[in-house]
Amino acid sequence: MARRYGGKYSPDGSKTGSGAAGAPQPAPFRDRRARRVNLRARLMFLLPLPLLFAGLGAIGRGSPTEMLAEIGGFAGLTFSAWLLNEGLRAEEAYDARVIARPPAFPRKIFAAALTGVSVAAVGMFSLGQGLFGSLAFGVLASLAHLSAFGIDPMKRKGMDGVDAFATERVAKAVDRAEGLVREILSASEGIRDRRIQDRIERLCAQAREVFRTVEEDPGDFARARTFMSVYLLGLRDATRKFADLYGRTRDADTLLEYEALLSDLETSFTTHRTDLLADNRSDLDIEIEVLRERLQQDGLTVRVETGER
Amino acid sequence: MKQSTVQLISFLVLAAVVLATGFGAIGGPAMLAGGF
Repeated sequence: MARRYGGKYSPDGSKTGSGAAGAPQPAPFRDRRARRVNLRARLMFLLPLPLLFAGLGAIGRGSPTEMLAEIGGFAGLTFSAWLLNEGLRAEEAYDARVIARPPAFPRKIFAAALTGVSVAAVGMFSLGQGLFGSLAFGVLASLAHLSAFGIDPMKRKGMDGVDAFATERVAKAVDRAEGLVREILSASEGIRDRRIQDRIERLCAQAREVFRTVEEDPGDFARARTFMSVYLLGLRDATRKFADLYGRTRDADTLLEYEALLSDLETSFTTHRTDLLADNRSDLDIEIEVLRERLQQDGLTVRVETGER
Repeated sequence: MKQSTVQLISFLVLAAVVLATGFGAIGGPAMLAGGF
């Protein structure tokens, strides 16, 4: 995403570390891994192209069965390439987590099966290979697919000594919280102010640090979840409203108010993380209450999940 | 054999099967019917 250039020494440059006074700021690229691009998986989008031309040729010859088989095969192989790429992305997310659930839908396995079915269908209805021949090519394609790209992660990844139910709950909560972080970042793109966007990104990086803390030690999970909900929902709603309002008016007062909220959130969040690490429950409860009131004062309705489910 | 070698060979086999299917579909029936 293109962003306006700016840094510490630019006009309007930010003083890094504004907000949470004295709080250690996470490094800007922490927890932001470069996406692995699998060239072979991308090539799978190109390989079925001849089938599309064959389908067009079949239309020209007026052969509906061949046309259906070839266009259908092209569609099946393209869909399977998309599934494969999504599966690789899900696997990457799974690998990045300490506690993770396997993907709900095994995309890579399904992609391999669909590749086999597509190749077999084209062989049978377009190339006239017969049942045995087409099945042989289909099975070969599926096996080669499985061997080249592997299968999806199938096991729950958790820590020793944590029961499956607790692992599941932590993984679900972190999933939801990661979703909120993505929404916050996408809402912040509408602000078009690099300094503010950087602060939001830093906040999100801090949030991700808390996810990792919770994943590593889900002992005080209920409180962590409450705080994550209050904090992240508050930040998301505030960011959306601010992006909308500031985008239209560029009002300096709105900017000041939003920056004050960001500072409060930065301070609360750093304190929260410290309390979570030190298992300081009473301080954490007070912190949550204060933040909730602060968000209510700003007219942000926060749906909070409290307690155990 | 290293795993990456197996993966590369598997990918090449897969690519060959898919491409052969595609080009076969372009060439085979069209040649039978008297040209594409």
